[in-house]
Amino acid sequence: MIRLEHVQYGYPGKSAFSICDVTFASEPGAVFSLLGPNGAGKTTLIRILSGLILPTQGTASICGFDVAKEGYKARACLGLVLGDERTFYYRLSGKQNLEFFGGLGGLSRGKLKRRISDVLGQVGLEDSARLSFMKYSTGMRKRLNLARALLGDPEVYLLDEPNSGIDPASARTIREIIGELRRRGRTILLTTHYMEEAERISNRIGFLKKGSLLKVGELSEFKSGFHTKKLSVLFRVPVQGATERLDPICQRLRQETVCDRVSLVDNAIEITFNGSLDMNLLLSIITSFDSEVSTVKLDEPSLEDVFVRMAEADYV
Amino acid sequence: MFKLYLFLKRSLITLLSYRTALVLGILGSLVGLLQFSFMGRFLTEGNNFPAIKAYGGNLLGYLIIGTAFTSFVGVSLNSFQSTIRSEQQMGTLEYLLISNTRLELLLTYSGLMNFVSAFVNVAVLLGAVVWVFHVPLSINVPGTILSMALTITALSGIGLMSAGIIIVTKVGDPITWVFTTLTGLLSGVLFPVEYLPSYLKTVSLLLPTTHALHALRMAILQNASVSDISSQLFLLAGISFITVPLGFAVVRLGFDRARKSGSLAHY
Repeated sequence: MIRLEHVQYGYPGKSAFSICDVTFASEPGAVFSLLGPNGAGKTTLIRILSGLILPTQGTASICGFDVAKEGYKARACLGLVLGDERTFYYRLSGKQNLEFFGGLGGLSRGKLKRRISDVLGQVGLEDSARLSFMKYSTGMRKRLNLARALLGDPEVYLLDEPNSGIDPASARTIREIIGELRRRGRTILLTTHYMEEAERISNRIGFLKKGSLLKVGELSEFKSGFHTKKLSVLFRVPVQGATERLDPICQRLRQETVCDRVSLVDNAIEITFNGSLDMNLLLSIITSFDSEVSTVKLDEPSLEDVFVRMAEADYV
Repeated sequence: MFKLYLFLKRSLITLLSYRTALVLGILGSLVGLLQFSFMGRFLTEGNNFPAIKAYGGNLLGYLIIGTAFTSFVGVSLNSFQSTIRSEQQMGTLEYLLISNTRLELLLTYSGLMNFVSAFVNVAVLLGAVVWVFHVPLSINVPGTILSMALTITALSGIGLMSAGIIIVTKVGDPITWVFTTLTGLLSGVLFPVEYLPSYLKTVSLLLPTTHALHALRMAILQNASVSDISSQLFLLAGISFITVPLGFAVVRLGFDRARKSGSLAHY
């Protein structure tokens, strides 16, 4: 349903490609989350797939239609949510905006009326339908943006940070709608900076960095691929001078174990490591703080841990 | 005082950074000066104004039709690019483009309201001319409508070309400026073209706006029928056949260029 084959794109005047030889596909009933640091090329890929940017090389297709050559057909089965908040006419109400964009999308008058009522209900904006867009809060604007994409009930959804900067209730509504679309067999490509969200709703994840797709796989593959674990040592009270004492510990751990990262979060030390950790060394470190330990916890890495590791400058 | 200095410095740096606009602004002032000098010569003729006898000899009617015509020229040339710019600023342009509506229709429908509003303004203006100033108009309705419609169509083609250029360059385009300025100076808006030196008169006759304005004045002030102004109407129709398809082609090229450079939403 969504297919990118060896897609390459460079912005004029920049020597490096913004998108370098990206290939992946996503099938119906799947949520594919595209992750990556700012400037990785996630939004550029969404724009390429929607036909707003033409790739320098390679092909991008939606529902089997090449977006560059058969744009009209490809766009007919596409629902798009771009990350910008300001994508509606400010003086028109939410309902009038949906009427305008839905009508341009080719919906007949009768069907449009029904669909507007349906999608406003879905996103929880039925009571604000007659309110002018400029009076909408950020959360309402994001939900209206999703409502516009839902109008034509398309097969494919491209959602560029649909939940950025909004309150938890609005974010939950949007997540629930995405889950529902997935159950109904729609194909969804999502970009997000919220790792928890990606973990919760994605089937597959792609990690993009400097325009290259470094890894594609299921969430479990992502985590297991790193052989990384996270040990958290929580002290009862904040450790005095812990920050200064952390540096030599980091050095010792890095010398003697396969240690990725040592960090101090509030009154807890988090050690992310590969393989096994020398318990004697760990105990000597804990006791060196002269502080009472509350809990010691060994966790699988979260997607955020994986993200941070992959986003590090030296990761290739 | 220091804050005042900071504001002035900021404004000056900004002004100097828009070099094209700055140069066009200075040139515009010089052209305006030239225009008023020709107009001054025209007005020194006295109360009879023999040069506008062909239009009935009423100075107010002559000038008001010229001014109304200029607003049509402005709308035709600027409507499409201002529509694109405004959609970019509202962030709606990309959503319009991914809707399954042809680019040509999007532009035509988006710009339509500007033309309707220009028509209404002219109608109100003409109403005021008749009822308030008692200027004797002798309107031939088919001739007036046809000459207005063909003027708008012919110039809209040029407006489309300008929109196609602006979507790529993002800065003030010279086509609109040149056309608007030449129309104001050389097409007989505020004074008859007879007052121009012979070399400028030749340029004036090459401008479609000169012929369009003549046809419009004849239709509104002298009850000229479609057949009376047929040569001007044929000329405008011929220009439309060239400029409109060419305009749409340039716009499409502009959009494709912007899609390649990833700058569709930039302004």
